[in-house]
Amino acid sequence: MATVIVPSPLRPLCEGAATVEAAGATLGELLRAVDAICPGFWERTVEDGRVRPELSIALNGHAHRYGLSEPIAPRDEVAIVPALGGGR
Amino acid sequence: MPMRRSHVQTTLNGEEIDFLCEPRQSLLEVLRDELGLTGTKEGCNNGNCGACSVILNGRVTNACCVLGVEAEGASVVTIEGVAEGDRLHPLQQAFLEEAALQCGVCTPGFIVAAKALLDAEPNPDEGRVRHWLAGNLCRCTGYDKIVRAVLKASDAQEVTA
Amino acid sequence: MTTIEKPAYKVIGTRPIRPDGVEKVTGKALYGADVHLPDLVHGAVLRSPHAHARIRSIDTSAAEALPSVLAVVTHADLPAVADTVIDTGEGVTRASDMSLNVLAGDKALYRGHAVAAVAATSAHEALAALDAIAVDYEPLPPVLSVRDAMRADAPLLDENRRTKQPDGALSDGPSNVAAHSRFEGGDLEAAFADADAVVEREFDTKMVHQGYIEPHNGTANWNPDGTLTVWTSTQGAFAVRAMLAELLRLPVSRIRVVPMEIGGGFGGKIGIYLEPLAALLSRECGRPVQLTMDRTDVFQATGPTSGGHMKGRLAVKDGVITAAEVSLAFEAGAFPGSPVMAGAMCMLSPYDVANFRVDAYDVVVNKPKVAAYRAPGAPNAAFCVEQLIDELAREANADPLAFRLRNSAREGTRMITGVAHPRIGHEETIGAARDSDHYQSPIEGPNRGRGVASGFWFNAGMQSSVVASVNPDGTVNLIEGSTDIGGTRASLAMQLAETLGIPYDDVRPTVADTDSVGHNDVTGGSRTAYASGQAVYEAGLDIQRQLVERAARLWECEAEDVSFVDGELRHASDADRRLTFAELAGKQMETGGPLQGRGSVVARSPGAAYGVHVVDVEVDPDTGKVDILRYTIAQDAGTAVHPAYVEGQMQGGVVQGIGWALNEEYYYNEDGRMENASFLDYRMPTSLDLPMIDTIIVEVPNPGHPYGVRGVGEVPIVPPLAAIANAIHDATGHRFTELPISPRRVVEELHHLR
Repeated sequence: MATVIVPSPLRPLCEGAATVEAAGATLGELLRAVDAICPGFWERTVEDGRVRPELSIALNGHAHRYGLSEPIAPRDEVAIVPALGGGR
Repeated sequence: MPMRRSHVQTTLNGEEIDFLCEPRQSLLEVLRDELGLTGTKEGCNNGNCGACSVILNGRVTNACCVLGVEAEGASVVTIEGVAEGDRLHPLQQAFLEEAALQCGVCTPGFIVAAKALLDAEPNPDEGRVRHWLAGNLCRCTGYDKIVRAVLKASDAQEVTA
Repeated sequence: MTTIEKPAYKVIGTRPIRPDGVEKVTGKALYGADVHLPDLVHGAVLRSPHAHARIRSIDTSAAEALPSVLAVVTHADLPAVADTVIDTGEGVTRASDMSLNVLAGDKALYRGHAVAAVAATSAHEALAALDAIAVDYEPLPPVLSVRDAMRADAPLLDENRRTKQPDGALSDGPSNVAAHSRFEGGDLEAAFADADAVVEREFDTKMVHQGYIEPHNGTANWNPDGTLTVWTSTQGAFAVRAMLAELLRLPVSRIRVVPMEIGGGFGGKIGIYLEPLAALLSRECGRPVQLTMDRTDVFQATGPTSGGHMKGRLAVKDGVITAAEVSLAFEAGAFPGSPVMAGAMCMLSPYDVANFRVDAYDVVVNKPKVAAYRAPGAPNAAFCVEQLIDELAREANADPLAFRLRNSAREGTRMITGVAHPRIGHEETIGAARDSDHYQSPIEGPNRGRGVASGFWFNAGMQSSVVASVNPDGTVNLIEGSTDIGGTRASLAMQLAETLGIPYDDVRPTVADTDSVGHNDVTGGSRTAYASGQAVYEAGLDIQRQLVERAARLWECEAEDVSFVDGELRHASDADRRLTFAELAGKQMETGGPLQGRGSVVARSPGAAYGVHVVDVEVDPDTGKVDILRYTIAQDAGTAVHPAYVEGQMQGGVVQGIGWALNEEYYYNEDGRMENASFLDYRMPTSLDLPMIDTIIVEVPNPGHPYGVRGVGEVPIVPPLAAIANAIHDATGHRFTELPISPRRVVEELHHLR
């Protein structure tokens, strides 16, 4: 089972839970599994077969635009965060 | 509409040259667009950043504030005239060694302005260097390494003098 | 200052001269405006004089009739864009917003908004031709602050815009608030109720500009077969290519973007402004066209960063920060996309705060569309939080650095997003600042004060792609795609030299165009030394593997019997069998042909960076002038590849922060005109305003990079605004919550004149 950290705006879908445990071999499967527990989660996070452009996934602390086929291992931690850029 | 161009004769980096320019063209435009010397940069075009510093008749001057026709009979030194052949000026060498440039666009202006300082005052202290260079803006370095480079170059020049 | 047993690097950590240095100190390096092409013509852009206006019509016929005019374009010449977002590497922008920003459609949304562009036989003729374009404007009342924009009766920039709310739903009615996001955790009310002390304040910051000395430029040549070449000073040639492809509806392969040298970017040269205009003009007149901006246009019509309004309330109990409630409303400019989220996510990241609520509002106003500026959003947010922390420390009777240390985040602490920090260096950086000669020295004298502040920036990873070709003489050509704004050619050459065990001078780096190298994301996000460095490392390993195979071939043994050590190929059991890198490079043809290494990465573990700053100021109570007496910056760089360029990033960011704190602002009149759109009155620091900036490089290596590199470019600008405000409070007893803390503001507030 992987742990999914639920961002504040989506917690109402999960009855207020801040984290959800779910199983999935890939990011896409994991998000589908979360959607089964928190209806509407998939629609809020995925669009046109990829993670919504305004979002990033942080996999074990590392934020990036992972594809839905990204492998997820048991005990991985997945957070959904706003996508960001940089200046310099 | 296009203007009649004036014929100008001047001494540029020690060499007597001539060029044609419209009366409305600045010396900066002439250097960059007519003479192909793009080392002198445009940062603001109104005399506030020093990126276009040249030495005109011995004085540091913003080339954007001088008309091309005003170069008639004058002596102009640009960044292209600072090194001697393949021998860098001590300022140029010091800027490299001290990492006194990041994007490098203000660097020609600083080197020309600093050269004018060291030509007039071979041994300035930090305060004098900062005061002299206050008309040259740099946004990348915070000036620290630029000031160190100028002081290092003045020491190097002393050694070889 | 290293924190662990550091490997004995041969090249990393030294200070060689950068490979592009000589051309830059002799004026030979070519920046975007230096491009000269055969048959090149110049253009100019007509811009709206109104901050907010409906454009009823544009009549270009008189301009087109002028003999010197070769082409005129307006928004009608741009194709309709797809309903999509473009990921530029600085965030996402709607293609339609980008298209309307490049050339105004039915509305001008800020003074300076481009309305039309011309190409003519000379730059002067092009400027003169602008007067012949007749635009019929219907001026509308402008909205010039977030507070005004958020009022129920505020004029609307876009009647179709509704607020995207935290639950994902859109608001019922139209609004200038493009988005409202929220982060929450713990039990805020209980924490406030239980606190020893609570501090609460509101803060205001102003729009400021990155202030790069080189104005924007764009040169384009459109061929009759629809291929387009663009030369430009940009932070990201591939980002430019992607944006042009969307805006001009061209296949990406038809566009070649040549990144010229760039005179500063800081995030402001990722977006495109002139390039699409030059392309359209070139298409129309059949000649290459060059556009450059003057400084007024740079201020009015590029991408400064947000001003905004912030409210913060923090609580402390037993010396521990127990609660934080912060609301941030940032100006996005004419189109959505302020960095309010980044600011929200950074401001508490130096600390471990269990109970929080952060509200972030992205608000459109009639000002230029904001772009990234060095750690976008974070300096503003730090101005709020780091001052409140200063107050909490005083309430708790604690030394400000000790207070921050006590509350510091460490590996495993969760940020407000719920993501746990990996190995980070805030504690070590606080220690370095505390132990510095500066902090240990007393500050004496009237009107003098000392302030400290912490700062955080995530740093980016993203994609980089390089190729390294080994020459028969043992030198290596490194083909990379990261624009060199501050010495990255040197840093990448150093990392490749280290990997291959060869001298730095044997690596020759080139920054290539989009046809000549694989995809590289922008030089920005403090990512280049980290991510392009990782690609370079992979290319080096690729070369090592091939060299091992070739040596095995030569020695007629197995590859397992050959190792690559210190730039040499060695046989496991036969000590006589050795080849240097150069010797084996010389045998390329007979061992398999041309030798190239490839590195293509998606860098996923950038090391976040912390900075802790100490500043001493003196405030003149009569003139209001604030002098910076002494400034020390401690920053965790992971591993400093080229320490001089790391120091340079630290010093440069600090000085931008000093300008932002003390003088810089977009000063608007009530009609929405920026009244100080020149370097004379938009007052950036000069050499005379500053002392030397002392730097302490802390090294807590990033486990996610082969050499431990962390990004360094952005975090230096995050603490100065608050550090200086804290110092001024220490000097005067007055806390300034509005920027800039200019002489006028100091006099007015100290003497209660407002």
